[in-house]
Amino acid sequence: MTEPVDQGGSAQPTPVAAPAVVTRRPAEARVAAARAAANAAGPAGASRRTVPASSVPPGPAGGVREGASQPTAAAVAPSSVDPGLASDRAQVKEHNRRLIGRVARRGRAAASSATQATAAVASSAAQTAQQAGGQVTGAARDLARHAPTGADLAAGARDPAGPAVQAARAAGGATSAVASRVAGATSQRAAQVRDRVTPDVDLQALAEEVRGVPGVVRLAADAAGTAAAALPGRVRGVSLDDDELEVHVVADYGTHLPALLADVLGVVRRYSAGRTPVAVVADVIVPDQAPDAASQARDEEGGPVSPGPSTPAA
Amino acid sequence: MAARSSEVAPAQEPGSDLVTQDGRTSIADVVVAKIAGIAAREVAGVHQLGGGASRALGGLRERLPGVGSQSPSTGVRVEVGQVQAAVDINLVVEYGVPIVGLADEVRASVIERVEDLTGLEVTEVNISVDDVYLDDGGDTDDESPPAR
Repeated sequence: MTEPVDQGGSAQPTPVAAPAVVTRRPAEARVAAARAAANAAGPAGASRRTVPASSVPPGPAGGVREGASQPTAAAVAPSSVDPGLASDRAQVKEHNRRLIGRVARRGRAAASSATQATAAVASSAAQTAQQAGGQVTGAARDLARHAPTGADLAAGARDPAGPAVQAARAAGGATSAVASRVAGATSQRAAQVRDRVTPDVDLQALAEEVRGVPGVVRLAADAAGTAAAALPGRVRGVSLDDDELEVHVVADYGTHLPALLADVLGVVRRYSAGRTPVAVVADVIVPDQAPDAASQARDEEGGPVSPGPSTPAA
Repeated sequence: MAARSSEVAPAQEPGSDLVTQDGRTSIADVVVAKIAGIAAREVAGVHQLGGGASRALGGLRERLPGVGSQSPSTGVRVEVGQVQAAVDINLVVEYGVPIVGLADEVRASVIERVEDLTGLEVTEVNISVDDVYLDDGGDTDDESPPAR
């Protein structure tokens, strides 16, 4: 930015400022004359105003003014104003005018240099852009030139990677085989679950009928989980799969368990729809412990049916 | 006891009540253990069932409200096969009772009860007398707290 400004400042002012200089030359000459007069009038510029007003005799000052042939000073001089003061005013005016001219010149020069600078910046930017474009295209060209080499490299790398690729392919095949097997098992399992969710056996009716068997306290969902009741439509203590229909019961203590199992198994068989019926006594409820309950149970052990005064404890 | 259940195969023992035409029936271990425990407790002279640890736990349980007393299967360990069962019993006898005769009685009672109620054949009943209970106060067995 600094360089164009300097160029503009040095190159431009000469044609633009020439008329200003031409027009202003008489004024400068006048100012120079006034300065010479002032110097002749007083040694110090600072005391210029006081010195002519008080101690300088009017004779030489007036002579100088005449010699400088200043119209304003001459016009002012005949009036009552002090001639030294009038010359000072003229000097001040001239100085102001000169200052204004200088400022204007500088402003013009600054403006022109600014435009030049803008132009220079624009041109340099354009140049830079062009250069950059050229470089980019050059780089692209280089890349295009190098691209075949990269492809060759890749082709070269493919050969040593051949066994790895084959191994990966084999592993992928094994994985897919396992995955398909797992998927098959999963779908089978899903089918089983679906069958369980919508069983073809009326499990509620089965459960009701099993509960009605003498000696059965309740159905048991035992710890083995074979009689789980988690799925919808399931009954606690009844387990159904493709092969078996299994019922777990809790019996009263003292019940003849083989007879009870035979009864339960008969009920299950009627509901099993071709499956193998399974009946399990999972637990017995002992009425209130103690010898008397046991003896009571012993009294009842002849018959398979035990009257249910026993309180089924959990 | 364990949740393992014994499978009773059909038509293997001609005289067994567990014989069925088709289908399977089984009786869980805990069922056999409870029946054997109750049968052993019924014999006069048997103070308590269970070894040292289970009796200590049982004594603790009796002091806890709401828990209740010992399970009927306490002190009884069973192995149940397809048509057979073996029973091991730990017990505490009362002082003054001839232990050999008591053991025979317990064995007979257990065999009779288990075979009667479950249809399983009891092959052996192993009895271990862990302690002798001294009835100091002269009260009845059930009301006096266990002295040891």
